Amino acid sequence: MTSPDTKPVFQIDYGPVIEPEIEDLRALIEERFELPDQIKSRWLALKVLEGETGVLEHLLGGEDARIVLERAHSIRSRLDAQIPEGLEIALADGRYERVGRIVEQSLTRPEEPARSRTEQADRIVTHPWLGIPIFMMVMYLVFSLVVNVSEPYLGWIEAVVSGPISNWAGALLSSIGASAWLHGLILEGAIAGVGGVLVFVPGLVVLFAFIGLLEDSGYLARVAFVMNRFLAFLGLSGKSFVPLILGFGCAVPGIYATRTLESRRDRLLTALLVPIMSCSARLPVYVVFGMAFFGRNADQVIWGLYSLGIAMAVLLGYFYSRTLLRSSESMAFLMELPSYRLPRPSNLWIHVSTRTGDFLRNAGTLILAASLVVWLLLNVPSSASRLEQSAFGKVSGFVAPVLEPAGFGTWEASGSLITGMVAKELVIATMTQIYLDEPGESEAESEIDPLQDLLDIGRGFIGATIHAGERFLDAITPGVQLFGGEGDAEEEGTALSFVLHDSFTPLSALAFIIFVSLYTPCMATLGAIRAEFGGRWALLSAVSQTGMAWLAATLIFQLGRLLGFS
Amino acid sequence: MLAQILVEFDRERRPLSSRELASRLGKDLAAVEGMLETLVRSGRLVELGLDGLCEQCPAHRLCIVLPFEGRRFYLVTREGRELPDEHGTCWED
Repeated sequence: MTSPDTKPVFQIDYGPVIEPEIEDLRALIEERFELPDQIKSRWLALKVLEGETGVLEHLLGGEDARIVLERAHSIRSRLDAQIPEGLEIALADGRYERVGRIVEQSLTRPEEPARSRTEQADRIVTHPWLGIPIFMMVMYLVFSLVVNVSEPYLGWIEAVVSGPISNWAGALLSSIGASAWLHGLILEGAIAGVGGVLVFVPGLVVLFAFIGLLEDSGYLARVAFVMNRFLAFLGLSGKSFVPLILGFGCAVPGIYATRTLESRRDRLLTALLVPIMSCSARLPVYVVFGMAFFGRNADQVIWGLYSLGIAMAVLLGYFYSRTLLRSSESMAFLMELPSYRLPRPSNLWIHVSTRTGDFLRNAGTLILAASLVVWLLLNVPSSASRLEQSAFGKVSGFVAPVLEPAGFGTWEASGSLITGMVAKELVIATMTQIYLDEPGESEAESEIDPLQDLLDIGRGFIGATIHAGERFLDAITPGVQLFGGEGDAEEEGTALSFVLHDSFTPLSALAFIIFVSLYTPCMATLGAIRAEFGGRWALLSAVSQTGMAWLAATLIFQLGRLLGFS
Repeated sequence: MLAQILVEFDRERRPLSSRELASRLGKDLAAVEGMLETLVRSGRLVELGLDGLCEQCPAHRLCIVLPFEGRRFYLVTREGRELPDEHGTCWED
């Protein structure tokens, strides 16, 4: 039994409101029970007040326990009414206060702790002036690796799709007596359309892997920190960088990620800027045109397009923040920079497989369906002798004059851009159907030898992997050509890359990819903006981006012509 | 200190991260996280992400907000949860 006069050395004072009630309950417990030495009456009173009634019932039980519990209940009710945060929180708070005081009295913190390697690296990486140039260089390296490493696989997948897969499908269709119409729909519509997009899967895997590396290593968190100052120019905080960087993969999660921003104005402004970041679905367009017209400089062009997206986002953001979406308040941006670490393979795998899976799902559903629709529209009416006279050709030809000042006013280009409004992957899928539509060729009844085909596929993969390894080493040793010569690039590219030379000049090709990089977001993105902010903001996004894309492409094309480029 | 944390939530009426609270209150992150866990156990706060709320978000598989901002919490009032609407939004206007 503890006497109230012998105050223990360590006792928390819960304040003038609670203490008398604890004392009251403690006295009642002592009056009713003969407690064993190891159980203190004050501790038991506190437990009961905190609602742990089982302790009392378990230890003591009986009528006396009921009386104590009733008193405790009335005390709890009284104190809960008096204390805004409630008795339980107030008791925990008292303990935290005591712990805080003990820590304050006993802990001596070094005035200037020794800098860790992470802190030393951060002095450079997050430097006010060096931070952004370093980020741009890192992104250039990433895109250079994406283009160089994925290029050998493009040819391999294209050969597999247009060779064995088309042959097997053709043979299967012939064996079931399919009509010529069905042959065309499957081979020229489904396989050519979806296959034209699937060839870029290796490039996207490389891109997602590098973005995953940057994220898992802790570098992207630094970029958000560096961008804070940059985004403050638009009245946004570095927090907006997170949705914006998601936009490089796909704009839809980027739009939803704006939910984490505090004000509606910040969410809206960020959501309007996210689709201007070049998403991964636009990468195939850049790669095809880059390889077709810019050879070894394709990586620089692609990097330039991504940088252009950032620059245009800043311009548009500046415009919105001074007109429709003004703000006077600036939000603080708080984030803890994690230590640098070696990326974990399991994290990378999740990152790459999730994003690649989404792309493949899209290819197997939306792109497949759209490819079939485009093929049908390209083949009606059946009396049309040329694709230009088809329903698709006529509708596309109606839009083409609008694009004439930008240098690509053909029905083929405008038709591809129209389907690209549904999903950006469809630009290349449609182009593959239009430019590579050579009826009869794919249906040629070549000899089918599945074993030989599989051996060829395996050999092709090994060859592409060796070549990709060489290109990787070349890419990470700038200025040193370890493998291959300058002319090597001329032989690279997809079949589409080669036929585009008949329809585009380097200047019109540049204007075209600039247009693609900036014009209206895809339907899924517009749907996300509409769901989050309403239809008029989705409409504004589509109209403003298309207008901006047309202006930028026209400006580049006309300026280029004035300067004598073709 | 716990009362101060609840006051912060009540004033902001939005999810707050442990880092943000630690900075506002001038306390160690670990200490604040301990206090937040006490408040979660007492039913006054709910943690974003572990409560299945993130799973309702269309972007949850690709979201990198949690790794960037750390653990985030919502206030639960005496009247009940002050949680996102039925669409699972992770903010409150």
